[in-house]
Amino acid sequence: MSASLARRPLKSASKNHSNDLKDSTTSHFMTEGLDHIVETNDRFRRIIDSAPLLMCLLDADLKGVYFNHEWLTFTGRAQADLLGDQWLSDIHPQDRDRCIETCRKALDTFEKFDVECRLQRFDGEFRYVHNTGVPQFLDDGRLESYVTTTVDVSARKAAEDALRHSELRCRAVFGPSPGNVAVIDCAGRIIGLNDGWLRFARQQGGRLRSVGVGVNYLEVCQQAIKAGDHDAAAAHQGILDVLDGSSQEYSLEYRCPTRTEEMWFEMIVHPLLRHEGGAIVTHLNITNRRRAELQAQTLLHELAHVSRVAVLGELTASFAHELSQPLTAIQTHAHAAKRILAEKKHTHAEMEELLSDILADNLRAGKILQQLRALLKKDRVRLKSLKLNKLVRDVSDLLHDEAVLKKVKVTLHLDASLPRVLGERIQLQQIILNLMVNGFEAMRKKNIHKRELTLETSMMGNDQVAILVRDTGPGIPEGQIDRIFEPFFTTKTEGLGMGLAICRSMVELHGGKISVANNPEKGVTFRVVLPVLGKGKL
Amino acid sequence: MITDRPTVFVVDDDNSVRKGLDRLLKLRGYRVESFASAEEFLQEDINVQVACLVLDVNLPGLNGLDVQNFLMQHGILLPIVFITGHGDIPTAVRAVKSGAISFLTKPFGETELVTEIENAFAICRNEFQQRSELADIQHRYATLTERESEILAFVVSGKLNKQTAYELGIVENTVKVHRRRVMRKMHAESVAELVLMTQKLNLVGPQPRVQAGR
Repeated sequence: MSASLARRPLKSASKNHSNDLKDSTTSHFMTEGLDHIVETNDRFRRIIDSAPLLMCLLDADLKGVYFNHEWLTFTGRAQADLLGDQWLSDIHPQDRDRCIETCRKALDTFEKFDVECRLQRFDGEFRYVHNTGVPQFLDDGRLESYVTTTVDVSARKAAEDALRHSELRCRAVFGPSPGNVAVIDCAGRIIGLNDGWLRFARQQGGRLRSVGVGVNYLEVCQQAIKAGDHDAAAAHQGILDVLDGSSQEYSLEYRCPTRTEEMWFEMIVHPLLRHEGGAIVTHLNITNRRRAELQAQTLLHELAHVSRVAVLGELTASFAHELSQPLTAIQTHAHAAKRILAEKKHTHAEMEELLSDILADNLRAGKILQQLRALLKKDRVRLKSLKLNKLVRDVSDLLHDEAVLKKVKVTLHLDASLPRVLGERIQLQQIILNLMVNGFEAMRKKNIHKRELTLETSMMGNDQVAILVRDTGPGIPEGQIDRIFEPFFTTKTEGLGMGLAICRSMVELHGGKISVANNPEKGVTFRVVLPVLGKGKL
Repeated sequence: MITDRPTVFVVDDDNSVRKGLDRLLKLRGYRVESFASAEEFLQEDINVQVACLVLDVNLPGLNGLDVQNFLMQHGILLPIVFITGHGDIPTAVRAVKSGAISFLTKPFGETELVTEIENAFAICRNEFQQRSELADIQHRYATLTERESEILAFVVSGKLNKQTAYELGIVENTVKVHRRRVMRKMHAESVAELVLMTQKLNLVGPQPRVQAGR
C-alpha cells in the first residue's frame, strides 16, 4: 500500500479520485464471493446502514467491500470511492502504515484487531477513531471477511491529552520546585509527590521513606505527636482545618534536625481545588532564612548586651551605693550583736532579732548582686513565663539610688491582676531599665522643678499587656518623635543613640510594639505593648 | 532643751541602715534620734549642747549638703559626720570645706564611726567652753567705764603710760590707776593675758579712738 497518496481536496467528488489508487485497486473491486453478500443480503445492508456507528466490510486482503451509510456521511464519499484500497486514503498518512500492519497481523492469525488512528472527516478534519475488526469465517473455516466498526473517540482523546498535558505541566512546575510537595486527598492519604519530596525522603532514609504515595499523612502526624513532637500537633490541626475548609491556608515553621545538620522548614497547606477536596502540603526549606534570622537575633542579643553593659557602667556608682546600704546595715547589726554579748545582759529575743536583721540585709545584698550579674552576663536567650510587675519592681529597686541622685521621684502603678507574659527576662528588664534611665536623662536639665517618673502596667484588651513609662521632662520636639527609635538617632551629646533602637528590636522580637507620645501637660510617655501569650519568634 | 547626755542625730532614708545605726549607737550609750528624711529632721528643735549629726549625703528631697547649708545659714552649731555609699570625692571636698568634720564611706566600722562622733562631741564641748569663756570676758568687759575701756585699748596696742597720758591729756599717775583697775576688773594677770582677751572680744583691729580722732 502506497503511503504517498496525494491528499484529496475537501468534499472531492468520487469521480475525481486519484488515478494510481483507482488503478491499483480496480482488480480487487468485486472480490469473488463477497459482493454477493452485499448485493443479495438486503437485510445485512439495512442493518449496518442503520447502525449509529461507522461500519465496513473488508475482505481477507483488507480491500473495502462495503461501507455503511454512517461511513459515507462521515467521510463525505460515495461507496465507489472507498472500495478496494481507496478507503485507506482517508487515514492520516502518519497512522496509515501502523494501521495496515496491525490489520495484517490480525489477518495472519485470524484474530480480531483493535487499532486507533486519525480518519479524515468530510470537512477535512482528522478525527481520532477506534477501529475494531472482527473476522468472519466460511463454513469450511476459511477466513471470509472482517466486519469493522469504527468509533469517533476524539473527545476522549482530547480529554486524555488535556490530562496528560496538565500532568506534564504539573510535573514541570512541581518537579524542580524548591519545595517538597505532597498532594493529599480529603482523608489525608498522599496521592502525589514531587521530585523534591522523593529526593528529601531518599536523603533522610528510614524515617521519611514511610512518607510515600498511599500513606496517610495525618496518621504520620499522629505518630509524631505520640513521639512528643509539639510541632506535629499544630501541623495536624492545621491540615485538618484546611481539609474541612475552615481555613484557606495554614503555615508553620518548624525545626527538623536531620542526620547531618539542623534544618528549618516551613510547612504550607493549601486546599486542593477540586470537588473531592484534599490539600497540597508544601515543605519549604527555610534553613538559610532561619539562619539569617538567628544570626540577626544573635547580633541583636550581643548588641543588647553591649548596650546593657554600657548603661550599667554609667550606673556603677549608684549600684555601689545600693549595695553599700545592706552591707552597712549588716555591719552595724553585727557590731551591735558583739556589744550585746560583751555586756552579758542580752536576751534571747534581742539576739534573735539581730540575726534576723543580718540575714534580711544579707539577702537584700545578694539580690542586688544577682540582678547585676544577670544583667551583665551574656546569657542564652531563654523564654519564660514572667510576672511583668515583678520585673518592673526589680528594675525600679535597682535604680532607687540613681533616682535619688537624679532627684527623680519614681512612682509605680501596677495592675495586680496582670497575667504572665512569655518572654526573655533580661531583655524585658533591659527595656524597662533603658526607658527609666532615658526618663532620668530627659529630666536632668536644671530648669525642671518637678521630676517624676511613673511606671504603670495595665491590661490592653484580652490578650495584651502594656507598660507605660511617663516622665515630666521637656518632651520630644514633634519633628523628632518619629525618628526616636531609629538607630544612631540621639539628642544627647554622649551615647550612641542605640538604646531605644535596641529596645524596639527587643520588643518586636517579643511580638510586641513600642511607641512614644508627648503628654498633654509635660514630658513623654513610652508605651510597650506585649502579647500575653508571647507570639514572638524568640 | 539641754541635756547632759550627748545626742547623736541620725538621718538616713534606708530603713535597715537607720535601724542598725540607731541600735548600735544606743548600745554605746548615746542618746539617739533617727530620721528618715532631711525634712523630718529640720522640723526638730535642735537645742542640745553636745550633739552631732550622722547624715546620709544622698537623700530623697533635700539632700545632706542642703541640710549642711541650712544649719550654717541659721548659725546652728552641729558637727556633721557625713555617711555615703558614693566614694564621690568632689562631694566630700565640698562637704568638708563647708565644715563637715568627716566623710565616711559605707560600709564603715563601728570604731570609725564612734571616733568621728567623739571628735564631733569634742568640737562641741570645746566650742561650748570657748563660748562660755567669751561670754565671761564680755561680761567683765561690760563692767569697764568708758575711760577704762579707752585705757584698755591703749594698753593692748602697746602704748606706754606716758604716751597714753599725753594722748588723753591726763597725768601719767591717773593712767596707772585706771590701768590697775582694768587689770583687776578683767581678771588679767599680765598684759599678754589682756591682749588675748581683747583678741577674743575682737577688739584688736581698731586703733585707739583718740589717735584716730586726731
